[in-house]
Amino acid sequence: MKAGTAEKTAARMLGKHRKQGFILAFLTPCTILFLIVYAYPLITIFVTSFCSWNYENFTAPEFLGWEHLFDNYIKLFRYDANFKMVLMNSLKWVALTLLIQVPFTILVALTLSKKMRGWKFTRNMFLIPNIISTAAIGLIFLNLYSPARGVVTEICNYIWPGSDVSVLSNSKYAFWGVTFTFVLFGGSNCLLLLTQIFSIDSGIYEAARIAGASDWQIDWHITLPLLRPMIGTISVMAANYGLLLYNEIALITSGGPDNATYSLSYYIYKTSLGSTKLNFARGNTAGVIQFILGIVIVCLINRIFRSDTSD
Amino acid sequence: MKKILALLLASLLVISLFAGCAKQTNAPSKQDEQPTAADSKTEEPAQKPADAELPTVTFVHGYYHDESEWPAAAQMRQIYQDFAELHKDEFNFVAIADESGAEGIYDTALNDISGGNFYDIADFGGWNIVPVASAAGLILDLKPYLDEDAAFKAGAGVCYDQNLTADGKIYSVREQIEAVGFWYNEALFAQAGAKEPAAWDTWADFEDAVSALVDAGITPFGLNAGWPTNILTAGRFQADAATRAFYSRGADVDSFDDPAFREVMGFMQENVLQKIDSANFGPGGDDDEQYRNDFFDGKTAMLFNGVWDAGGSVDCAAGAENIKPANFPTNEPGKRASLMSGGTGFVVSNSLTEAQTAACIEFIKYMTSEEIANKIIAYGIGMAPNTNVDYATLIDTVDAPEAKLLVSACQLCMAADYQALGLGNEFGDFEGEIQAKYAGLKDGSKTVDDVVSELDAVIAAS
Amino acid sequence: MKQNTSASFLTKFLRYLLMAFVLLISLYPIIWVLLNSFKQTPGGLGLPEKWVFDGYITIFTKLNIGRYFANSLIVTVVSTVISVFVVSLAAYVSARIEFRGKNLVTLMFASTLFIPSISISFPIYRLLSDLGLKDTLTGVIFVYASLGIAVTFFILRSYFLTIPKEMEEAAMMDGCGYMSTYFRIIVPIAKPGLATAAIMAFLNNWNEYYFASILLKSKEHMTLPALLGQFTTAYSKNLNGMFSAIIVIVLPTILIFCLLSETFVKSLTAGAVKG
Repeated sequence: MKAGTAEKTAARMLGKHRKQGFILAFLTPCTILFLIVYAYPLITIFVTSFCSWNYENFTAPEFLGWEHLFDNYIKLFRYDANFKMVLMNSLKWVALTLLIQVPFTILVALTLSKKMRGWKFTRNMFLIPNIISTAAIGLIFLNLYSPARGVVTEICNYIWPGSDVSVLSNSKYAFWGVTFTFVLFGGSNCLLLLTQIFSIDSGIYEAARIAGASDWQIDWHITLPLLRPMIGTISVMAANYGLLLYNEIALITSGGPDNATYSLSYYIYKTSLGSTKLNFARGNTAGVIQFILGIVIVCLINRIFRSDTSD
Repeated sequence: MKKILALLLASLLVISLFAGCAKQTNAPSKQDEQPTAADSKTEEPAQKPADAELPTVTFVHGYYHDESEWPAAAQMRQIYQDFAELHKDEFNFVAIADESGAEGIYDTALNDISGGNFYDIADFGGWNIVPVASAAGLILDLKPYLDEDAAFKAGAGVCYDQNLTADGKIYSVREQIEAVGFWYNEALFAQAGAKEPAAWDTWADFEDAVSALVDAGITPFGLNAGWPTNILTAGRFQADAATRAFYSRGADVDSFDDPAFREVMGFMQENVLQKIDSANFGPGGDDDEQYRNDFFDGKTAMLFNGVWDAGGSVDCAAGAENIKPANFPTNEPGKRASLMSGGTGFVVSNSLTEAQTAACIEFIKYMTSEEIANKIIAYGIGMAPNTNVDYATLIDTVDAPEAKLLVSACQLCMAADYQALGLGNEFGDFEGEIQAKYAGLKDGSKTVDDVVSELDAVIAAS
Repeated sequence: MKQNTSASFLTKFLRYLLMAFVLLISLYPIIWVLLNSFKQTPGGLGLPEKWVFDGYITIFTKLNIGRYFANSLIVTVVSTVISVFVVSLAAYVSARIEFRGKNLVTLMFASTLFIPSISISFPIYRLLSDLGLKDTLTGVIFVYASLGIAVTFFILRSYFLTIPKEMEEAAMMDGCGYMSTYFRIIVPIAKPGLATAAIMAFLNNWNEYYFASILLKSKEHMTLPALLGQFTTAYSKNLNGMFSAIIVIVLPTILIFCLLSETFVKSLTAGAVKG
């Protein structure tokens, strides 16, 4: 072996070690937080979904045994009439946030990025529905939908006289009633998009303008492609909100009428904490389903937006 | 970045100044208040070192509200304080208000239980911790203490029977009970020429009154897919021996395909839910209290809510003088029914020393005594289970009109021939399943048969 | 083909229309709450018939609002700073450096989005009791710093992904190590992204109540959202008080954000010029 190559190998090895040391140093703090706060619960959820765990053996969950391994899952899917409804509702909410909230937020962000008069004010105000306590949002929408004094019923009566729609107590409309309590509120996602838009090199825009491109063309051909990773991110967050929907339901409909607004998170709460039976095993089984759904959705979104290959 | 930091620092400074000032101005007013958690915890042993010898019991309760917001909370804290004062030579009794209320106490207890711990003694304010805590073997059976002391047993009242578990233990008694009849607006009944609830013989009179109100253009009641409708359902279940028998089986029923259940659901659909329009039927989430507001605004004639809502009559648009309490009729002429749920109140750890346990029992005896029962009712805090309370004399000793109203409502509930548990206490998780059906029954998209078969499907799944 | 760079009248009109719509749906809630916080019995549209200030009077004279506010600020600011710093390191590595197990690490942090908080609360509670951190601000800061992992991670990662690779390569050529490349080159460019992530974390932690209610028990450690509880008694809700509390909780965040947004905008443009 020549002295020169040995030196090079040594340098490469050293570089590799330096790189590994760096990766380790940067990942460790966050990983520690993860391990302390999330790792144990994550394992608990998975393990206890194969256990019996309720008020009777709250301090010590019991393994169901190999021949009954999937009993909790079988019960959930085969016998629990509510669960199918719950799953469908949550999936619908995920789809609706992706189909309504994300495009709407992008449209608003693109519009605001033109910096027309009042854009900053609009951007800041758009955050308010995300900051304000959901307890208030619940009351506001109860008032809006209230058949006695609400605007919605009045508008419906104007279009179809005498219809007297009571949005939240009708199992056909209640789902949509709950949907619109959150689906348009993309203020924080809009802020994320704007941050990204403003960090795009202004040179690209000038070049495009000189080439005679219209605003729409610039948005469509330049801005949107450059925003892809961020659109992927806000899609994940929006889908996450749809999947974990809880507060709005607890405050407005408590899952009714006739389970039309029953969500996965509300189901998990109801079966585990919200019942004296404290059926945490079944709640966690639903939690596993929710978790897996979440991971699948993130992977799908990442694939669509390929946030890994930015350029 | 520097600017942001500077701004944040500046605001921090301003706020800490503000906080300091606030603390100073609050200092004098804090002294006449009952000591809160930290005050009593840190100061008392420091001031009286001799007390360190005495056993200490820590009691956690949910009456943390400021006096201006809920006077009852301050009165309850005073009651606890009086007890501590009374026994200061025997033991240290430390009352701590949990700022997240009864629900927070329950959540914390669950967390504690999962680690094998339990409060010394806590007031769960209706949140049922007993099944899980007793299964974990962490709490004390109070039955022996109740059985050896007749006055204590009388103080526990309905709690004795209601909280008696299948294996013959009583883990909790409460100084208050949820007593429920209903409220009505006398003026609206008079206006419609409807027979007043006090004169009703059977549920047929209820139906006639509702029809009379509807004919007069008065909305008989506001409801929602939850609490108030459940009260009426529970009340209607007390009508005769058959429905009462079904009701008392509660969560243990093996099928809802029962004539008694069909009868009550049919009644709810035809004579209750379909008598009001959708404007008076709310969705039933935690924020939905429209049915209650409408009654006190004088827009509806009846309100299905507990005796504690006497407080709602203060300054209400319907006129406090028109608000009257009532209990439920039955189908046995002249007999009346009410709902009285003790639920979970004081629960004591079973790993205390003898002296600590004795202190806890002493405290529960004190809380369920006639003296405190009178105070609880007279202050308008709620209704007490103590069977020795003399409502007829009590009504003359209270001054405030809403307190008088509360006493007479309690009196009616106590005087009822049949006293049943609330729907939730009796049916557990099925309460939620039943209330989910109200909307369908109301708009006719569901029949009673549908409800029965759907509920039976739920039984099959569990 | 249009040559002009400015938009047509119709486009402008549509844009203003959209902005007006956004303003309507955003301002309606807060104005509704504000108006109703002055009503004796909140509900309905329109101005209060009689202006009532009871809720505010209770909050500012009876409750120790300064203490609540200071606690909220300490907890939120410290946890936000910790969270953004710690997560930014991991997000940078995940966005930029190739190594084995990278996908697993990314998935690990992303997965924290979907763990129900009910499941986290039990182990956390026990851990903090064992460490003696129950009912302390330190404990809550620790929990809040961890709760934000996923959101902060996603935001920062996608922001790092858009920074041109040439920047780091040039720095590396000049002999900068990984560490100094990150702190000297990447952090200044990523300032807008870091600031946005900080805003998100701040807003989430400011409103958090579930963990606060389980971990904090004594009056002197309570944070602002606990104000709402003061108006919810065992039997009824004082809506007038609740709405006043909501305004008191939300207003500072809006003000802080509006004040700071100027600073942010400047750092945004600074970043853009460099990029």
